[in-house]
Amino acid sequence: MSKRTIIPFGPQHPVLPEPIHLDLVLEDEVVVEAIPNVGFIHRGLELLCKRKSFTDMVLVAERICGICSMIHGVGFCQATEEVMKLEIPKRAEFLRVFWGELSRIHSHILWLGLAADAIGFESLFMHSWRVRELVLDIFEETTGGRIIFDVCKVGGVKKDIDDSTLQRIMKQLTEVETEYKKLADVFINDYTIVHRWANIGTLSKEDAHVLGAVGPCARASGLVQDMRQLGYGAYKNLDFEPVIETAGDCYARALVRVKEVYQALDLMRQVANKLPKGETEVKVVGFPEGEFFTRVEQPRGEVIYYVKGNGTKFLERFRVRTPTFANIPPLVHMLAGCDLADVPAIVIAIDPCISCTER
Amino acid sequence: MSDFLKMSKTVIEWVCKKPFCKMYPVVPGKVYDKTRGCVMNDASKCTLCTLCDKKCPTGAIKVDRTGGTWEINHFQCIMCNECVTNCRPGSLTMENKHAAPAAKKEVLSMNVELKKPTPKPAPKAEETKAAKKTDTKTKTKPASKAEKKPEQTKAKKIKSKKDEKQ
Amino acid sequence: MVEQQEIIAIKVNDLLGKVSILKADGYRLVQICCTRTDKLTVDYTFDDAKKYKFLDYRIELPLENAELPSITSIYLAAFIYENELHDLFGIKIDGIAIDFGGKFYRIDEKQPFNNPKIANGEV
Repeated sequence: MSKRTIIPFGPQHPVLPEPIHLDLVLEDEVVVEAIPNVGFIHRGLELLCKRKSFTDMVLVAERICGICSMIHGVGFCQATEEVMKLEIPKRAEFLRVFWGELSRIHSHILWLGLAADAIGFESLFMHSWRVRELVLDIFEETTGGRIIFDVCKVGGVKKDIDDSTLQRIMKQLTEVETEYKKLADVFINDYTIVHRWANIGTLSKEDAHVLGAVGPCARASGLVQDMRQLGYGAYKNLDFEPVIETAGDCYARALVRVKEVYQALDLMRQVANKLPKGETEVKVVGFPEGEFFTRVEQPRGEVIYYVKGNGTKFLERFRVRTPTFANIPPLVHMLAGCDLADVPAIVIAIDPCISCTER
Repeated sequence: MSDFLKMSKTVIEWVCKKPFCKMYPVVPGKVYDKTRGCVMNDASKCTLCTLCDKKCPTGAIKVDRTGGTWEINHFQCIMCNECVTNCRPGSLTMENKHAAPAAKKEVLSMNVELKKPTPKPAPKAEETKAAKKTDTKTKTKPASKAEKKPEQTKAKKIKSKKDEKQ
Repeated sequence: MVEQQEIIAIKVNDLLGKVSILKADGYRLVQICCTRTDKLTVDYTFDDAKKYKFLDYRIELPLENAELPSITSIYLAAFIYENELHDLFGIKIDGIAIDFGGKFYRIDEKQPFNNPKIANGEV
């Protein structure tokens, strides 16, 4: 009977973008079980709905996380608009999709850099973040902010993109795509990366379904699950297929994210071609009364918002269940039986966004 | 073998190029027209209506009507643009340069002098009064007496206007 | 409307039975959420993986001394949601597969979301 030791992983670790604590129970360098522990960034943001009016809560929702900021704003606005039975203009829906897909490209390129850093490939990490800077410049040009955009509001969007700027941005995106192709080639074909990530942290299709995996984690195991197929916003007018892989290991998750960047660029081109003319916002009259659950696809997976209003300007309840929160049970399952040296690669493969997890 | 050298092309390309990183703060950062940098107030246009104080979600702007001050804490401001959109006299603007970093959190305070509502002819009467006072000193008595009369009538006119207003 | 949403009110005693029927039908657990008004309303949200069909079971509990059975025997992934309910709302859930005993979120205040002063925005 070999001796069991417990090693703490986190809350500070070079591979983690945000603090999470895992107690790893080891038998001779093989992890037997992992016990997660969250709560380092619990700010109680959901309670702020009682103190900030529902129009100000968009600002709070956007600041739950820095990487997934845009889509948190879109989800909250969508939930409140459904409660108030507001129909927002078509141009606003298309613009939200435009910025949402750009946000997805930014998040995936950021993840690719972090994942390369996790296995020690620092030059690839620096080049990925160099390509990310080109995307952040587009954000700053159109919304005014690099990370927090402040562009969503209940009733539409606050800013507009005129035609000449849109044409210029599409040209910049072709440059981004050319630069990105060189990186994607390394991620897909490089010997070191394939060797470090293949057959590590395997999650079968049945386990992914039972444990409630969402996002690229689920799609890499063969589950067809993409909330954009629900057709919210402008997605009902756009054409796309979810990116699916079947291997279920860390390499498959990386492949799903690499291919989703191409899918997002294609969706942005469709939006630029189909962008209708018109208003960008609708006046908000009255207060929300009622409740609604809305599901939106973030770069990390399915996020569900619950908004309940009671007829005053303060909401009764605002609840966010983020994808990383749902991906913790699959993480605990994947860590059982792996080597200690593979733990950072597995943890980064679920794309942990812990500020979202404990808002 | 080629699988090992996938990255080498990019590495060699960037060894020969100029570095992508800029020498900030020696080279200033790139800003665009829409960049949300910091909120500035034009004291000459501000009317201390306190709308920005009420709309600010973080409480970064504090307006004191009686004291005549408008304060902003740039470190608390989240650049959400609510104050600028709701500013009635149009004195608030969102600059595209960011507020300078500092060792301590400072509050930027400015005194706003509210323009007192004065009728339009009043400045002219004052100017003519001042001009005529200097003139009366040098001129002879009968001329000064004749000039005093129109002044008195003008002064009476001003008083009556003030009475009307009150 | 984005999607049709079905919210069904059930009793505490029927919970385990109905959830096991859903598990057999291939539904997956989306989230467990709680709202505090004059009572505690717990929502169990499920989703049919093939059709993205949304189904919600709603249970109403009293504000104090609320108790629920754990569904971790059916859906293991529920342990994180149930620990969160216990830490933030003070609901007693017996039989959680991995029970953190109140230390899931390391917070100073006990059951902050169920505290009338904090939850109503007075503090």
